[in-house]
Amino acid sequence: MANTFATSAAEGTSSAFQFPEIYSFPPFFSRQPNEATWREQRRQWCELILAYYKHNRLYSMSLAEAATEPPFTNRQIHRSLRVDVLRELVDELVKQGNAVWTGAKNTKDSCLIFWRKPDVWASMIHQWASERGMFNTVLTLFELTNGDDTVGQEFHNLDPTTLRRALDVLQSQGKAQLFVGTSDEDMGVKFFT
Amino acid sequence: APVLDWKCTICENVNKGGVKCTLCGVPRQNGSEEVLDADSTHLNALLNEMGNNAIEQSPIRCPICTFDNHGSMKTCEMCDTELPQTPDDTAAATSSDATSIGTPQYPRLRTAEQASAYRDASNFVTLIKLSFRAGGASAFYTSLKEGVSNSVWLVVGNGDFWEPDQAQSQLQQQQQPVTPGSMASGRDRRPAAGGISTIVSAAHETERARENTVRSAFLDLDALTEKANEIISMAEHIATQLNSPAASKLHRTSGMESDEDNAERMDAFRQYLLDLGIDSPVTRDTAGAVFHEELARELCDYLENYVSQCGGAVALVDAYCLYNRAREFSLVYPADFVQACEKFEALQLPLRLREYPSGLLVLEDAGSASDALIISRINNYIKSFGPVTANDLAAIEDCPLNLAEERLWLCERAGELCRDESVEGIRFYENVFLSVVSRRDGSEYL
Repeated sequence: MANTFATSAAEGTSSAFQFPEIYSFPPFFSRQPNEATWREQRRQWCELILAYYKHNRLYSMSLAEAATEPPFTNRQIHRSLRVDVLRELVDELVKQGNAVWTGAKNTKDSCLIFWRKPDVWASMIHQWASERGMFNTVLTLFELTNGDDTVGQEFHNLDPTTLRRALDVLQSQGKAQLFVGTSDEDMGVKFFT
Repeated sequence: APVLDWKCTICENVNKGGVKCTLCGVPRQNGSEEVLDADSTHLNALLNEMGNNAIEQSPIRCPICTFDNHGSMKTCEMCDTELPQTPDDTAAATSSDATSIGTPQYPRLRTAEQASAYRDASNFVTLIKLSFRAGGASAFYTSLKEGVSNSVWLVVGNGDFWEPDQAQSQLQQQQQPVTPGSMASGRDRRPAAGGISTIVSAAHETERARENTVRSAFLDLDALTEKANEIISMAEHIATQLNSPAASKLHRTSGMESDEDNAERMDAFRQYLLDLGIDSPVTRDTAGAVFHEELARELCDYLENYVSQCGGAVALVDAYCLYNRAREFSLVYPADFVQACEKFEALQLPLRLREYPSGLLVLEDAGSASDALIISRINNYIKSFGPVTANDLAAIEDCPLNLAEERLWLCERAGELCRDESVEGIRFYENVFLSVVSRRDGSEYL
């Protein structure tokens, strides 16, 4: 008896996200005091968050707002996850490398969700560059995510911050060089083999 | 306005106000002589007499200073020179016992006639004139004021107040003029009413009264205890009679159809008798060093049935109250009670004391209160009734709410249940999280 929700934020896809069965189980929205139970509950939440954000191609989360929306609120059973519990979940995602805290220091009010880790994005972009023979050519970051050449690629419309993290990974591997432009928007990148 | 006294025309009793004589009951008549209160009557009489005397007696001129002294004076008021005496003045001075102090500084009544007339009327002197020639007036006044305010005339040597009939005779003895010297010595003999001794004697009095109360109270208690013991032994007696074979034979012959009925009733009756009390309960005196062990055994004997009736668990407080009620008078201390309960396991008795993490102490039936049993029982409830709250469980198990809560938390800690916190409270569900671990494949989401 999985609940399905039309996801308003979905870009380019109209298919509804398929929630897992546990989503309609009321205790799923209460922080379980039993440590073993909580570990399992947290694991299931993390899976759900990544799946939901991937399905809807969402990258950033503002915790206070997100808590009142699916997937953290189930209106059918009138249950909502508390923000402090959500914060604990994001902490866990950060520990796994699937999220980073953004915004002011130590506030933990907003974060980026990496439903694909930056190094995965990095190898994906590098793969594309080698297929298209883009080595040793300077490309702007805007071209990379919004240009005609990348239409149909997974990283088309990728969030700029996530893209920067992926390119940082490539640069540290010596497979790319970032060029600083006059502003953040016209930064350039050159790929190497 | 002061109530005017009047004298009854029939019996001559002086009444204080009212319309009827308090002695003979005759109504007040117009002819009845209206008098002021006793003192003012005498005062009036005296003043009249004095006035007459003053007129009768011509002043005596002092031969030294030429001051015109009152006719009754023996010495000059100004220079203390002896005045030339008139014959009746001398007589007055010798006959009056009120003027036994001869020194001229001290007061005396003017004439023997006045003095005796006055004494006859009132039994004591109410008016004394004092004159001071060589100082001492203020010192005397201070002593007098103190004496009056302390009511020294009402106090005898040991500080007790006088009885009224004694007072009469004492007053007569005291009819000598008050002098500074006699005031001082009087104070020494009889402490003032407000003094320390009064307070001390009042304290003694209270203490005596209290002692009496306590003694009589404890007498009552002893009597009560005695009766209680009698009642308990009576109950025991009846119980043994009911248990005897003769009694059961009696039941059997008393009619076949009501036999079972009767037996049931008898059982209940027997139970009441047993509930009534514990004969010769274990005490520190009788058990000595093994007091707690003995107490534990007695507790088990007494509480075992009760605990099993209550579903195998009773809050320690309830058990304590029940047990102490049965002990009637020799109550046990809570600390002793808990210590005795802690010995259940060591003594291999069928009850156990369990302390839940919240501090709730519960007496449980050793056979039915293991964690595993509680968990499986609650799991069964949830399977048949759906998710439960502590309230639901308390209703199902017929146990106190806090115990129900503890049991649910116990299951939660064991990972058997999980909670759903909402505005409606905490509801416990079967722990799906842990039960799906075995059948998860995980790849579905990543």
